[in-house]
Amino acid sequence: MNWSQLVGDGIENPMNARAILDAADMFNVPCFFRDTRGLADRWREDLASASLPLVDTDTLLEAMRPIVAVENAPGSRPVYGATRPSGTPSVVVGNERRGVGRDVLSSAEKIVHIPMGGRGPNTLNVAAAAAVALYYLANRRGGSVQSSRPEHRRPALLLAGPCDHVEAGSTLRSAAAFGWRSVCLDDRRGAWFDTPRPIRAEGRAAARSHRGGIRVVRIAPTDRLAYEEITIIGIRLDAPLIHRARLATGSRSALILPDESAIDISSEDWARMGRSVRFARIDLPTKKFPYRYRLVASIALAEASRQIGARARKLPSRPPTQRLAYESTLAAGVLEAAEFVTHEELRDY
Amino acid sequence: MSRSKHTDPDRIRAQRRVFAPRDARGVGDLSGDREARRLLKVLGLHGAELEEASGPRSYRLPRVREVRPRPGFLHPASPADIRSFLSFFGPVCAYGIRLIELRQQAPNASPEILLAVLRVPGTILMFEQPASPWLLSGQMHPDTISRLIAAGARIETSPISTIAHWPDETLRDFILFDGLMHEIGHHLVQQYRGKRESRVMRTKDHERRASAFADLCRHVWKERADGDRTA
Repeated sequence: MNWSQLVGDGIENPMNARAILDAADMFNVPCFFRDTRGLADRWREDLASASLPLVDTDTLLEAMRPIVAVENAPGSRPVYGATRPSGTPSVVVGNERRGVGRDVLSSAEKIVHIPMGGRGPNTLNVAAAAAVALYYLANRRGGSVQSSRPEHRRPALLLAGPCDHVEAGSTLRSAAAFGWRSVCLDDRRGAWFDTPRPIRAEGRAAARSHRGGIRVVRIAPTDRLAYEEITIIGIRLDAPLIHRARLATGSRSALILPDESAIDISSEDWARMGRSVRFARIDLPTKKFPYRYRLVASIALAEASRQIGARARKLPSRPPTQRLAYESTLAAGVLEAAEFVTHEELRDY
Repeated sequence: MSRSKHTDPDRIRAQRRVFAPRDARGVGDLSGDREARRLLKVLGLHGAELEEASGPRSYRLPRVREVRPRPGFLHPASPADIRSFLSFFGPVCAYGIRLIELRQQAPNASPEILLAVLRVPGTILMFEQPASPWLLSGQMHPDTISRLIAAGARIETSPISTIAHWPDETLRDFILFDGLMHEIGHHLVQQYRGKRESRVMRTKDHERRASAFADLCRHVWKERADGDRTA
């Protein structure tokens, strides 16, 4: 018997539906869709070879209870440390722009949200959100962390060798949502920088007035980096589990998320990137599933974001007496050779 | 002209206080000295004998405490370097400094490279630094690069990293001037204003004076080194 089932509610994009099916495969749970926005028709046009498992509203709201809705709604609880209801709960993720339907929300036993520390987009790609929710609901893996200065705990982020620009874009969107403001991208497969993107360039030029965004710094596979400590996160590793690894190690360390469909982690020279190299593994119930970079990377980013923590809510009190101090410092590096990707662009991934 | 015993020029007051840090405020000032000389005159003794009686003049340098650096890091300036440096620049720089501590850096420190910190009043923290060469992520700001080059570093830049090579004793001198003497510059601004624990001027002016003081010290040190070489 399965521990859960995944339901996509009102999904519009068949590519997202395909990725949600892959997320369900990652966690070895069945997946269904409540089609309220013409997904079945588009699915037949684009992906005629595969079948789309559908479920109607009555079955979802009556026979598939208890329901855990993944939605950033009033009264929702963080998914970190959340317990799932007894039985076989249905984890419901919603439409790309409108979220989970109101009828599902009102019937849900539990509503959880994925906390995000970013100033930009506050939503993930729907398949990435499904993977993150299933990861934390499958097992309780630590609760929310409060930190007085979370930004000082945030490591640098490096995406290594993504094969597909949509996977890379969705991962960048996740990184922006979880609070990263710049990302190094080892684009050895030519998935991001070398694609013909005249339309994207136009959109970028038009959207420069938008505040925020994420800087994507191109690095070569042979570049030397200067981090004190790097942590490589993957699923095909013999390494400590990710929630037991120390990921919130500050800006002098880096998280590296290699695309394991293209990179053999064991044969890569990681020592060129940092003085100390560590590995961490994402624990999944099965090894046989179609690998999707955005899903694995989003789980890693969510766990790192959980460990970085959120700023504690301040109670009104007397301001702390700060002793006078003067520092002599060298200004940090500036990354001029970076591409600026706006949040508006990332919404399309 | 005021005859108050508390209006000595900074240099004279520092000289007097560092030799007797625990004495009461009036002890050792010129009025007491003159009074002593009058008494000696009455007794038939002279001023020269008074100086001989007091013996060679020495003062206690600030305490320097060292915490061992982490593997891969070092303290470029040792406690002995710091003591000889402070001795060279005299009591004006040492007056009022309670402690100089060589520390490890916190692992979650800010992305900036922290050289030293002055905690008012009179505590200077100097932080461990990576061994040469420094591998710095990203391209550094041009001002930072010119500062490193002026300190004697050899810089290699690439689009994503900057490497700073520190030949000979350039790293030690960089830390001593841009770290220690810069913070002593801040300390002097606070110490000789009479309000040691409150902000005496806006930070920008404070920084400008501290930098000017560090530059002056570097110049004096270099002149002495050049003089030694020619001699």
